[in-house]
Order: sequence, then C-alpha cells, then structure tokens
Amino acid sequence: MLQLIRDKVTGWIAAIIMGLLIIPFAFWGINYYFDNGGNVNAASVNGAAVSLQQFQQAYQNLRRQWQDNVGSSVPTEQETALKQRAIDAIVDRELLNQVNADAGLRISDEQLATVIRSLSYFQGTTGFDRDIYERTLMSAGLSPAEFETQTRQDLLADQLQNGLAATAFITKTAAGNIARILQQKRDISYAVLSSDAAKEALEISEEDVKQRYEADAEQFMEPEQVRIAYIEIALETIAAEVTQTEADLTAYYEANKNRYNLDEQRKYQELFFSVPEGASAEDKAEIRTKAVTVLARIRSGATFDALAKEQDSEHPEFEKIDMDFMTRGIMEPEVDEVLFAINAGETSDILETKTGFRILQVLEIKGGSNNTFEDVRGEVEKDYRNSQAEPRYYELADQLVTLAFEHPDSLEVAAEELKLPVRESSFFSRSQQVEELLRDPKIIAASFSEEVLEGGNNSEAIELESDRTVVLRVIDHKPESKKPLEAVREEIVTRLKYERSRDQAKAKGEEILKGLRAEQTKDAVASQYGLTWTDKNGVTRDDNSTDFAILKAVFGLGDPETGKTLVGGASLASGDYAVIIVSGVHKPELAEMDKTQLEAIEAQLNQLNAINGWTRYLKSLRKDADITIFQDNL
Amino acid sequence: MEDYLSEQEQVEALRKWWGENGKSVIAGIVLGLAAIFGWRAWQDHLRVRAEAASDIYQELLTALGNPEAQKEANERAEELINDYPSMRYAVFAGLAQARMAVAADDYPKAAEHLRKALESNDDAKLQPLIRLRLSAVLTANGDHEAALKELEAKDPGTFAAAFDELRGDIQLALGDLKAARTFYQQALENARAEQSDTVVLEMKLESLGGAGQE
Repeated sequence: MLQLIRDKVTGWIAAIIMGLLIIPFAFWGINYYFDNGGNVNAASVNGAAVSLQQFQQAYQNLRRQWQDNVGSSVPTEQETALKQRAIDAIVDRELLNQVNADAGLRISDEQLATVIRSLSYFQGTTGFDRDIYERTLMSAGLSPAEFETQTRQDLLADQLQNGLAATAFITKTAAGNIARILQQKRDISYAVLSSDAAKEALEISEEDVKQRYEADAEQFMEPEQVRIAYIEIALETIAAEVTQTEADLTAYYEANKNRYNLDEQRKYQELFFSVPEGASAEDKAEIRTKAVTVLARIRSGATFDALAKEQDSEHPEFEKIDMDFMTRGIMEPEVDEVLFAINAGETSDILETKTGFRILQVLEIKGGSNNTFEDVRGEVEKDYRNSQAEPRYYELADQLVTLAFEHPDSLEVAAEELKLPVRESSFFSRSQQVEELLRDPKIIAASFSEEVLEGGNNSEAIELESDRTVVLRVIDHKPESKKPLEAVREEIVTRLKYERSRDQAKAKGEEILKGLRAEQTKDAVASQYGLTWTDKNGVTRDDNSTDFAILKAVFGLGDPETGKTLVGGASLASGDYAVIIVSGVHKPELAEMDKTQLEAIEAQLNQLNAINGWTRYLKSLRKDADITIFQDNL
Repeated sequence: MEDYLSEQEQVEALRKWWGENGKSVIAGIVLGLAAIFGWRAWQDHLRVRAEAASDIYQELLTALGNPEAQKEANERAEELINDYPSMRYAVFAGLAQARMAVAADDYPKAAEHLRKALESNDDAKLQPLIRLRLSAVLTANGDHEAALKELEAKDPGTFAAAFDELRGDIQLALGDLKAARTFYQQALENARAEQSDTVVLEMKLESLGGAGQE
C-alpha cells in the first residue's frame, strides 16, 4: 500500500497533495480563533476577542456590588443597564491593554509580586500568606495565573492613567480667575412683586382645566398596582407556641452555659489627681494631701459628683472620670487589683499610679460568679424557644414551598394542609406600599415578576430577615391608568393659578425693568409701582439671607461698565418676581484672598482637569476603535 | 528518481550529498539558531529596559505626589528622558516636569517640557491633551497669540470642548467679551453632549452675563 503511494505519488502530484495538506495545518490555529469569535465571545475590540468568561466575571462583580450596596438582588429592569456597564468595563480594559502594549509599558515580575504581597486580603498574621492567597482566589473562581495577569493589566492601566491624570495641573492664572469669580461680592437692591393678589383673583375655567388634563396626561397617571395573598411562616410565631417547664430552661442553660457565662465586668467612677511628670517630692506630697482630704469627705458621705461640682473649674484639683463596664486586663494591673477587690458601692483607698493618685468607686457589677441563671433567664428562654421551634420552622417552610409549587394556582391547599392563614394585602405599587411587609424589595420584586403577575402562579419561597418565609400570589391587579379628572382637578387649578400669576408678575416686572433701563430712578419706580427696595451690600454667592433665584440672577448678570448699574430680574419659586439692581461688583485681588481657600479651589480645579483629560482620552480610544459587541451571547 | 538502490548505494549517495551540501546545511542551522537566539536576546533586552524604565517611572509617580520630594521627582523624570528617550515613559516624565514647573510658576520652562513631550510622543490620541496643556501654560504666561495658534494647529478630537473653553479664556484675557462668550457657549454645548462636568464652564459663562438678563 505504502509502496503504491510511493510509486504513484511523485513529482507535481506530490507537490499538490503536500500543498493541500499545508493549508489546514497552517491555518488550523487561526481557524480555531475564528470559530471562537463567532460563538463564545462577548465582544471584539480591534480584532481581539474579549471572552464571555471575562464578561461574566465583570457582570458578577457588578451584581455583587449592587447586592452589597442595595441589599437586595438585582431587579430585572436593572439587568440590562448592569450588563451594559459590565461590557463597557471589559471593552475599556481591552482597549487599555492594547494601548499599553503599543506604548511599551511593562510591569516586571518583581513589581507585580510586591504589589500582590502588599494587598490586605492576602495577609495572614505574619504578612503575606500563600495559602490565604490561593484560597481567596479559588473562592473567587480564579487561578493565580489569571489573577496575576489581571493585576498586571490593572497596574499597567494605572501607569497610563497616572501619566495623564497625576501630571494634570491648573495654572495660578486660571485658578485665580475662577477664584475671583467665586469670591466676588456685589452690592444689590431688589424689590419683590408679589403674585398672591393675582392668585386670589384669577378664575380658572373648566375648559382650561380639561385642556391641561389632556395635555399633561403623563403627570396624572396612577402607577400599576397589585393586591397579594400570602402565607407567612415566622420563627417567632412558632417559638411563641413552644411550651416549656422551668426544668427545660435550666437544663438548656446548663448545656449552653458558656454562652451566658460573661466575664465579670465592673462599672466605676474615679477621681484622678494628676501628678505632672518630673514633679518634686514636695509637690507630690501636697497633691497626696489634697487627695486624702477629698477621700475623708467621701467617707463622710460626699458624692463624687458633688465634689467635682464644687471645685474651682479654672484650677481643678482633680478630674472625675466615668468608666463603663470593664473586664479584667483593660486597665493597668494596679487599677484592676483594687477595682476587683471591693464590693459594689464601696470606695477604694488612695491608689498611686505612675501618672497620679486615684480614688475608685464601684457602681455596678455584672457577669462572672455573680452571673446567675436568674440574670440571664430572659435570654435563655428566648434561645430555648427558638431552638425548639427551628426544626418545625424549617419543616413548615419546606412543606410550604412544595405545596405552593405543586398547586401553583392557589394558596388554599397549602393553607389547609399547614393550618396557616392566608392573608391579603391592600393595593400597592412598586413605589408605594402601606404595610410593613410589602416594603421589602424582595416582596415587591416577586409581586411584579412576570411569573407571578402575568403567569398567575404562586411565587417561590421568599426568605426575609429575622427568619421569615413568605409565599405569595397576586389576587388583584390594576394596570397603569389615568387618574379621573375629579381626583386631580384641584391640583390642576392650583398649578394653573400659580403659572398665570407668576407670568403676570413677570410681565409687570419686565415693564419695570424697561423703565429702569431707560434711566428711571429707583425711587420713581418705587412710588409708581408701590415697591419696597431691599438694599444689601457685599453679598456673596452663598449668602443665605437672600433667595437663591435672586442670587443666581445677581451673579449671572456679568460685570457692569464703570459707573453704571446692571438691571435684571428673576422668578422665584413662590411665583413672585424680583426686580434686581446691581450697583457694585467687588472682585478680590489674588493677594487679598484667603490662602487656604485659594488652595482648595486650585485642588478642585486640578482634579477636574485630571478627570476630564483622562475621560476624553478614553473617549478618543473608543471612538477610533473597531468595537463589536455580540449582544446575542450576553 | 531511482527506485531500487542497495543499502551500500544509498549510503554512498547520502555521503556524496553531504559532501556537496553539508557545509550549507550546517551554516543554515547555525544561522537559524543565531537568528532565533539573537531575536530572543533582543526581546529580553527590550523587556529588561522597559521594566527598568517602569521602575523609575513608579518612583517618579510616588515622588510627584509628595510635595517634599519634588527634587527627586525631577531627577527621576530627567533620568527617564535622558536614558529612555524613545519610550512612552519619557513622555509621561515630560508631562510631570511640566506640572512641577507650573507649580513653581515657571511657565516658559513648563512650555519647553511640553513642546518636547509633543515631539517625542507617538500616540496621536495623546497629542491634543499635551497641546491643550501647552496652550494653557502659554496663556498663563501671557503669550495669547501663541496659545491660540497651538489650539488651531491640529484637530482637537475628543478635546474640542476643552479647546473651546481655553479659547474663551484667552479671548476674555484679550478683552473680547463677545468672542469669549461665543467660545464658552460652544464649549458648553459640546461638554453637555459628552456629559462632562459643566459647573465651572457655566460659571464662566454666567459671569459674562450669559444668564438672568431676560
């Protein structure tokens, strides 16, 4: 056979066959990548593939963050946005990897090792711990090699980012210009035209109300609402039914004694007579004499508080200190020795320590040998009841889940079997609930989930805090609807009155402004329109005695020509209109400005430049890159 | 090709072939190996150099963030620029030096560093940022014409809003309030479109009387 091949396959035929064989072998490697590209990649960035695994990892991280921050699982309507953030993050990462490779940035193995060794989550008692390192990574689903590659990429990205951001600056000239705008003061006069009278006088026709009702339909929507029926199992309820004898409790207490056996703790107060460092023997003796006198008074019935109160507050002889419950070993040994030797209510003799003399008085003792069953009975009873109720709770929860699943159309079967009541809620929307239980985000999510709301099925078991399990179903549903005109008429009338009176005040105000611009004097305007001017000099941007809308207008008028005033106006939140005159602008010179304030402004502007520079650079990378996202794979 | 040769003849043929081609084969192998090892040694050399530069750069960053260590930061930057002139690290070093010169109010020196960085940088996407910084330094130094010229030189790319804002600053310094307002307005539109922080820009525009004058 081989001989035959060898006989026949010579010359150009051999060449052709060889050639044909070369093709698949040569391209096999690339072919492999092409296959991957179409099927299991999340994105392609300038021809390089970003794997689905990378995407999933980023997505899981974001989900975990969400859960940590919000405390509930990610609602369905947020998933798309979260996925987009994950894909953006890994695409940026890949882009940066490519840029860094092109730029020739590198992190040596030593640099990488130093960084990893210094990370807090891999620290054991004696520094970096290889075991902890590997275990932590394993629980995150990463191999050391993967983690090291990722860390290296992060460090490189940091190098690039720092190259742009840490080198950002703001020139003193530019910062000074902003500071002068920020810290300027203005002399102003303003008069407020009230809209109240107009509001009273206005008549709003039914026609107008209807028109607004139609035009602003979105504002008058009632959100989607549901009413649910639910069965709740709570450990607490079951625990309340546990019967117990005193013998049960003492037995439980004995068996779990060390849980209740607190170390002895003492609460006390002390008078402290400080002896300054390097005090002479005479000084010390003098302080001691004072302490002895005070102690004598305590022995004859004076309280610590009274003594502390009567001493001269300018030159106190001692300090009164209140200490909360202390176990042994927290205070200095010599204090402990005295503290734990006397009974509650007793006062110690004078105790000398390194820093001065002390008089201690024990106020309360708890724990230790004083800890009797009676002291902790309440706690023991609660624990005992819970421990007895727990098996029943889990059994019930388990049965509830099974029954609710097997009979998805109703809760009645489960309720009958388990002898539990089916409760019904009032109507609630995603954003507004009356009953406490309904406010739990898990309950809301389940009530509005497709499976429960549209499918009409029982929900899965929902585990809530403090050992409660709930299964629910929707019994009533109101889709989003427009509120009836009757319900919103008042709201619309108020709104229309507000808008019209505001516009009237504004129109009148603008007429006055016209007069002022035509060189009419302040006083002439005041008497013609019955205005009262408020004059304020040196108003700053954050002046809180002036209406915010007025301030915004005052500082938005620009600078007046020398010797002239500026005129402007502003509608206030109340609907009133303010006529404003700016008669003076005072911009501080750089030299006059508070140095720390100036530095703070500089730091902020510098930060802004750093962020803007970096994000715009990132944007240019994205703009010119060839990015394809395989949405179907996500 | 002859099909059936005795063993003796085969050996003989091989020997003959080796006599003719042996030297070239050995030379080829030696050359090939030399090329492979040479290439690897070269790559190693580049890697070692890059890592050394990276170490220095890391030291530069640490020193740059510490107001007490600016002298050291300058030394590290010099080292990168002199010893690794063709690497990106040298560009970053130049940017860092410019920052330090600005902090010391030495705008001409800062401009010099930035010009050099512009020249040695080969990442086209980084150019607008460096140019923007150069123009800001020239503005601070009072060279308004030169500053404007820098901004006109090339396409600003994604930095258009920042370029316009600086143009506004320059026009304001030159006393042309109307031009300044136009540039600020243009910058604000762009900045809003790209969703960047517009607080400062809005304030600049407002202080020119861009609001409240209804």
